[in-house]
Amino acid sequence: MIEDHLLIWRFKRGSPAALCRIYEKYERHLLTLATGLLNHLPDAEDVVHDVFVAFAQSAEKLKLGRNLKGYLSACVVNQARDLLRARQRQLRTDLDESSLPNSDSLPPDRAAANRETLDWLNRSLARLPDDQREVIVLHLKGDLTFREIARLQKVSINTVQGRYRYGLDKLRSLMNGEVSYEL
Amino acid sequence: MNSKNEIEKTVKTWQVAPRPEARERALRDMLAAQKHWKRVKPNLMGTISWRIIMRNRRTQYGLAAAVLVLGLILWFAPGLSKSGLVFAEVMERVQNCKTLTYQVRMNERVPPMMKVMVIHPYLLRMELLGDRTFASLVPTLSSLDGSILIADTHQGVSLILDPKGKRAAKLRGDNKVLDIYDTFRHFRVRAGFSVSELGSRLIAGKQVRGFRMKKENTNDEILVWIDPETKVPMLMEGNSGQGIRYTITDIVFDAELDKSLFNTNPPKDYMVFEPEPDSRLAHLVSAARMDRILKACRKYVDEHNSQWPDNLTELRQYGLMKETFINPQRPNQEIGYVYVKPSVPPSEKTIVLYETYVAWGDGINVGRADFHIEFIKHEAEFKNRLAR
Repeated sequence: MIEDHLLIWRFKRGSPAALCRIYEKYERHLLTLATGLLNHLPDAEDVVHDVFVAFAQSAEKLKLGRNLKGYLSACVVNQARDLLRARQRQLRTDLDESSLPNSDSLPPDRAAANRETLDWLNRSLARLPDDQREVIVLHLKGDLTFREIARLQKVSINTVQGRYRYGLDKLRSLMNGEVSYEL
Repeated sequence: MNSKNEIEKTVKTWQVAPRPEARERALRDMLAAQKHWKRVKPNLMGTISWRIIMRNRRTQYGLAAAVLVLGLILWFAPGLSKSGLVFAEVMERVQNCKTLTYQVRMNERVPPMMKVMVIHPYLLRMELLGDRTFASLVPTLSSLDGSILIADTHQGVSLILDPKGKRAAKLRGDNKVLDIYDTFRHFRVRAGFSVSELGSRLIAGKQVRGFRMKKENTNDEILVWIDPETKVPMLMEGNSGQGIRYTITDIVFDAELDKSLFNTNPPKDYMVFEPEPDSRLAHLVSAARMDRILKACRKYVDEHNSQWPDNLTELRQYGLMKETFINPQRPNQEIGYVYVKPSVPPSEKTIVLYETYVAWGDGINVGRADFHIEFIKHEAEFKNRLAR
């Protein structure tokens, strides 16, 4: 997009306003992506924080091979995977209320239904195997193609597509209550 | 939730809101990191290179020769970035300007049909100078020749003046009319958008460089010709989306403008009236509101992988005021427009939005899938297109 080209141009010349605008433009998307991968809001916030602090210092050597959104998304994905590997954690399922999207713009009954659906989504995503959840979040929220995900996960495209299919099936079963949540 | 599509849609629309404290921390640390980097960034490579070069007689001569050759190339090759013009620089200058005036014509050879003045970011004055060709092509404006529209988008107030009849109409709500900033913003935020160089041409005795801003796979494009001295646009040529080509001329940035020209109080000797429900003024106001709705649709489509919203309430997240959804001809209806979610992908002329009506009057405004507004005079044509 032209705005991104202009923002990069200004950012590389040290403009704080451009940096802030880049942050405001992509923070929600990146936070959602990180939360989907880590299922822990504070960790997701840390990852987004670290990515932007590193980005702020990268003006001189920044060379975008792809669009800005894709570049930042890749940074977040790499950081999230590093964090998961380093901590070797079990995903938490207690995503708190404040991390659910703002439903103020919806009528009250729709907002309540929306929150319930998204709450189920959060819990269901946490129940998926890591590799299936990663494929679903990267494809649907990170806008990565299966080929890109295959490169990232170091597996074949068929494997990625299989993970996606099985992941969606399991997600559907969990959200429809066909499989119970075991705490 | 049974289908794969429903699950995918739910995941796609899922969004996490940032917590204010996390946001503040990120902004603070990010800006501090940028500031620190700018202060301590050493020019190590420069220092090392200079020491290596100056130590050796051979490298000193080599450097001197390289400088000489480079200078000769730049002197004798005018096309080689001598104008140093980058489109991004032009955009930045446009955004930094505080006032703007320009005229709109069908082409450079005919008198202007509209004169526009803008005091960024809220004040707009548009004078319709009258042109029969234009009036015949845009019926909603044909009876408004000589009229003046003044808008203060901060206050949410517009004033329409008819100097000939000494009449005035004051309107409240979201009545912003497109101006040149929107033209750039419009194209700036669209995905799938490209800029290419056009080359040079002679305009008003100056060799100016041009750029084409085009949305891929559509007829939407605008040609921008840049003054090499001021590095701002001096002429623009565009396509209105209704097949009408127009030219924007006499573009002046940062002129001194008399603020009294933007006064939204009717002159004392004018008769003030309320727009009648079926008046053309109401159509004009309605078209501006529908345009705002379509802009929000465009943002939604760009953010949701070409999916259109299910209904108009999903667009409230883009800051649309309640008044935007009120059709001036139906002021008692909370939402005076009907939204028709198109199939994906829709053709450009598919109707996605139209004014509600009880009895067909002189016509209605419709919004199309290519995000343009069109005025349809005949009910049969409207129903035929809606059925498609």
